[in-house]
Parts: sequence; structure tokens; C-alpha cells
Amino acid sequence: MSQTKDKEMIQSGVTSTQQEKRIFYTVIGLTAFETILVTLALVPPQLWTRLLPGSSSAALDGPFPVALAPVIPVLLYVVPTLIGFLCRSWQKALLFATIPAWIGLGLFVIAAATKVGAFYLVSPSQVTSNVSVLELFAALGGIGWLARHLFKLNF
Amino acid sequence: MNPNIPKRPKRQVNGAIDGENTLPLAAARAPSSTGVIDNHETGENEAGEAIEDQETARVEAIEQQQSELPTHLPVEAPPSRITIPRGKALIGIFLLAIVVFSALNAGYAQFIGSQGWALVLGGSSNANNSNPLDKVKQQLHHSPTPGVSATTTPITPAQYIDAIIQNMTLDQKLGQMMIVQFYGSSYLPDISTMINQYNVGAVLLFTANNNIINKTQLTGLISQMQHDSTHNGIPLGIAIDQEGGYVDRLVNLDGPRPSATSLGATNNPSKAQAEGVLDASNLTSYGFNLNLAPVVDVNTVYNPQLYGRTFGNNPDIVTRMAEAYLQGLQKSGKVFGTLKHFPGLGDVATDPHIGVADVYRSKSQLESIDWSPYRAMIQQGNVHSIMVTHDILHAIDASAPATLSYRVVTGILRDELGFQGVIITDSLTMEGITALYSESQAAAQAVEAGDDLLMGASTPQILASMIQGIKQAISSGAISMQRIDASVRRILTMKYELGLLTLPNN
Repeated sequence: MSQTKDKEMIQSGVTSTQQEKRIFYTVIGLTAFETILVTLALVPPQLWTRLLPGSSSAALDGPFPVALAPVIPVLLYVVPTLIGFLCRSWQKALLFATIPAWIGLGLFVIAAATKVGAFYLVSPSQVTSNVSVLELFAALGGIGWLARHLFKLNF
Repeated sequence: MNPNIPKRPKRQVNGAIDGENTLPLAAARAPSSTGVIDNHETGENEAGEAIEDQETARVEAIEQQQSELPTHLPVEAPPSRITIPRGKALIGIFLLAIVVFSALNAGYAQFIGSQGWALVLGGSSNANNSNPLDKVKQQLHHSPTPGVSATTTPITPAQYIDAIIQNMTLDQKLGQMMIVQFYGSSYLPDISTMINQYNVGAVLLFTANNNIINKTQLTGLISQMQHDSTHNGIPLGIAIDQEGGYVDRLVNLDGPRPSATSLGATNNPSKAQAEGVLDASNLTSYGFNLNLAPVVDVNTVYNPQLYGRTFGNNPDIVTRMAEAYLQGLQKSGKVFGTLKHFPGLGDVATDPHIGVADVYRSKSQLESIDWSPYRAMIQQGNVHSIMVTHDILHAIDASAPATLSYRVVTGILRDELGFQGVIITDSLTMEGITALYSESQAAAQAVEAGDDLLMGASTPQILASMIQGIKQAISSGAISMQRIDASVRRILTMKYELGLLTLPNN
């Protein structure tokens, strides 16, 4: 009987570890997915129309079909919230939720500095917009993390 | 210690302390067959009771210890977690939602707006990032020998327009064939996208769409649209339907204008001409270059939709007054008028916004009444554009609304009446049309019928759908590239005549 109990106890410990791993991998996957979505926003519409000459919506929706296109902006905001929701600590929630924005912003700064010029990047409107992107993602991650406490989640 | 009392094996107790099994403890308490109880029964009462008390105390202590033992195997303690009460979490979410809301405007614009990342990196020009006017200039501007200043080949307007068309992509051509609307008083992403990404040919502003608020806003909005459009290549036609009377879009800016019916009642063409001049002056001051007026329907039945909008019920009066108004309007050469609503709404009571009207007049009746003003004014050569509406002419083509009928648009208006200017459709997203056709079907069929400028798109999505419909018709062979080029040529010719396109300088 004692051996059975020991087994159960050992198994519960293993399950908890596996669950944590699964959640971690999910967070990483979601962060990667969000990074792709944000990076796609950097691609000029001209490139999409050149790659998809038969599509009249390529300039507007990029590579996404018309039916799917409305979902993409929604995902841009839902995914960081979900990332925050899955993170146990608020530090991780903010970090993973804002990584896509940092990457997107970094790529934009490099590309824009080359193409448009560095002075453009320090123009007040650009600074405001770019800071707002980070602020937006951080706030969404924070909302997700706080939502854990609404549901009293412990995973 | 009484030697008669048999010693309880220590191992048994230790086993209990170790918590290996609870049975020995139960057995120790049971008043039956254990050695301890047996001793108690043999009469050595006092000493035995004392020992038993000690044993009981020990057992209780063991039980107490056992109850305090951990129920699980010792595992690594979980990291400390912050726990926030639900109420505080809710308040936090609310506060962050405010931050999200405030950041959305600026942050979201980076993904889609006219100043978004992609547009900053790719420029605001359309599909192939090419300005057809610049290309034409480069082709015409050449320097035969090094050191000699470059010269520009002399070119006629027709050659210039043909050269522009040759340098336009299909997307640019189809964009030119669209006259779009939008909701809002400022240069919002929808209209920005339609101008920058689809290179639309014209924009129609409405008071009902909140496009017209005050003089400063209106001038600024038109200026911004025209700036972007010119940057991409071909300037926009900026349209309004300023008829006067009940359809007076600028009443809050310039005061009320007389209705066509009241002008017609005077039977004084000079008054109509003066109104045309005044309208042109007002429209030009804001940046409009296309007025969807005058109405030349010959009103013979009561139609609430046309109340006060026609010059009368006599074709001659309508012709005379409309001619005069048009001359006044187009005198400056900066604003063109549009005759409407071909093939005529004078004999119908149905509002084309909500249904397709049926016209049962014979062809001879149509020619003598409804088409009389068109014929007369087209022959004078002063008409640059005509709007076709959605009524069904049973005498000509009962299978389709006039807008989508080849027999009406090309057969009657182009071939019989000889109109060579721009044919504009009434809105293809009116219920009369959308009840029968999808946006893409209507757009394709309108081009097949012979229309040049297609009205109805109010969002980039609808615009994309209409363009897709035309592209599919081109792919299937229903519409030829020559047909597209012919429409674009007429539109560009009108823009050239308006002064929006100028020949490259020598």
C-alpha cells in the first residue's frame, strides 16, 4: 500500500514538471508565431502584389486570403495576451509578450535607417508610434498575466 | 521495573514510529490478545496500569507524529508565486485596458496605417512602385550627346495619354476606373489605402459620410488626398453632387443654393448659367473638379426621389436650362459637370437606392422625351461625363439594369447618341444592384457594358472585390485589355482637359 502511494506521489510530481514544460513550449511557440505576424507587417505591399500578381487583395491583405485577413489583426492582439496568461511570473509575461515587438522594431529601425534615414526615426511621430507598439504589447501581456489571478490559476 | 512484565519488543514500536504500518498501533490499543493486555488480566494491576498509561501516551505521541508526517514524498518546493486577489487583478486589467486603448491608435498605425512600417519601407506608391508620369517623362526626356542639354520630344495630348497608358500596370488602370467613397472627415486609413495602394481615379465626397464639416477641414482633406495621389502619379478626380435645393452638400459652408426646379420655373437660362458659375467658384475653392450635376431627367410622373431636382417636365426647358448651367459650371475649365441619370428616371417612381425601376416607354418615347437633352448637349460637344443609373429599359434590354446593359450603355449612349466622354455608373452598391449581383459581378458587367468610371466602393475590401471581378473577367476573355485601355484613355483625357495632367515641358 505504501508503495502504491509513493508511486502516485512520484507520478504527480512528474506530471507537474511535464505540464510546465508543455506550457513553456507553448509560450515559445506563440512568441514565434507573434514574431512572424509582426514581421509580416514590415513587408511593403508592393512586394506582395509582385509575388501574388493574380490577387487584387494582396496590396491590402498581404499573403492572407480575404476570408482569413480579418482574423490576423485580431491575432496580433490576442496572442500577446495569451502569452501573458500562460506565464507564471509577470517578468516572463512582459518579456515574452514584448519580444515580437522588440524584434519587429529592431528590423524596422535597421531597414528604415538604411532606406529613409536615421533622422526619420527620431521624428516625434515615429518615436511615439514605436513606443506605443511596445507599450501596447506590454500592456496586453500584463492583462493576460492578471487574468490568471482572476481564474486563480496555479499552473 | 517488574521483571515479570514481558518486555514489549522494541522493533514493534519502532515500526510504528517509522510509520510503516498502522496495524501494530491498533493492535496495541485493542483490549484482546496482545501480550500487554494479557499481563493486565493476570492481576499485576498497578504496575501494569502505569506501564499501560505510558504505552498509551507513547502510542498517542506516535500517532501525533504520524499525522504530522508529510503526505507526499519530499519534492522540490515550488517557487514562490505572487498571488493577487481577484478584485485587484480586475482593477489592474481595467487600468491596462486604458493603456491598450490609448496605445492602440499610435501602435496599430504601425501595422496598417499610411505611416506604418511597411509603407515607410516600401513607399506609399501603388502595386509596382512606379509613377507612370515619371516614366513617360524619362522616355521623352533624352540627351542625345554628352554635354548637350537634354531635350524633350514634342508630344500631342493624345500621344501623351497613350504613353501614360502604356506605362501603367493593370492594377493602376483598374484603379483609375474607380470612383470611391469613404466615411470620415479626415484622411483615414480606408481612403489612404484606396488612394495609395489602389490608385483610384476619383473620390466622391458626401455630407452624409461626414466628409464635409467645415471649409478648413474640407480643403485640408482634399489637399491631402490630392497630394498622395499626385505623388503616385495621376491626380484624383474629386467629385461631389452639388445640385442645389434638397441636394445641397455645401449648404453649411456656402449657404443655400436654389433647386433645379426653381431655376427651371424661371425659364431664364442666364440665371442657371450664373448658378453654374457660382457653383464652380465654390467647388474650385475647395479643390473639387467634378460635379455630378445637372440632373437632366424629364420629370413626367411623381418621384419623391427627384422632387425639386429636375428642371421641369418639358424636354426643351430641361435642355435649355441644363445647357446654361453646364456652360456656367465649366466656364473656368476647372470643374466639369455630369449629366444624370441616363437613360432617365423621369417616368419611374422607384428609388434606385432601394430597387431597380422598370421603364416601359417605347424607344421613340425615350428618344423624344428622356434622351432629348442628352442628344442635344452631346452634339454641342460640351458634355464630358454622363452618369448611368439602374433602371431597366424594357424597350431596349429587359435582361439587365441600364448600368450593366451593353445595349443601353454602348448601343444607345455611345453608338446612337455618339457620346465619347466618360460614362460613370450610379453606385453599384445600391440595394437595387446588390440584390441581384455581387460587387465583383456588377463591376465586371459594368465594364463589359461600356462604363468607364465605377462608383460604389466605400472600403478597400469592396474595392478589392470589384477589381478582382474585373480581373477575372479579363482572365476569362469577357473583357479585353483594349476595352480597359479605352476607358482609361477617356478618364485621362477628361483629367487632361481639367488641367490635372500637363504635357511635359520642352
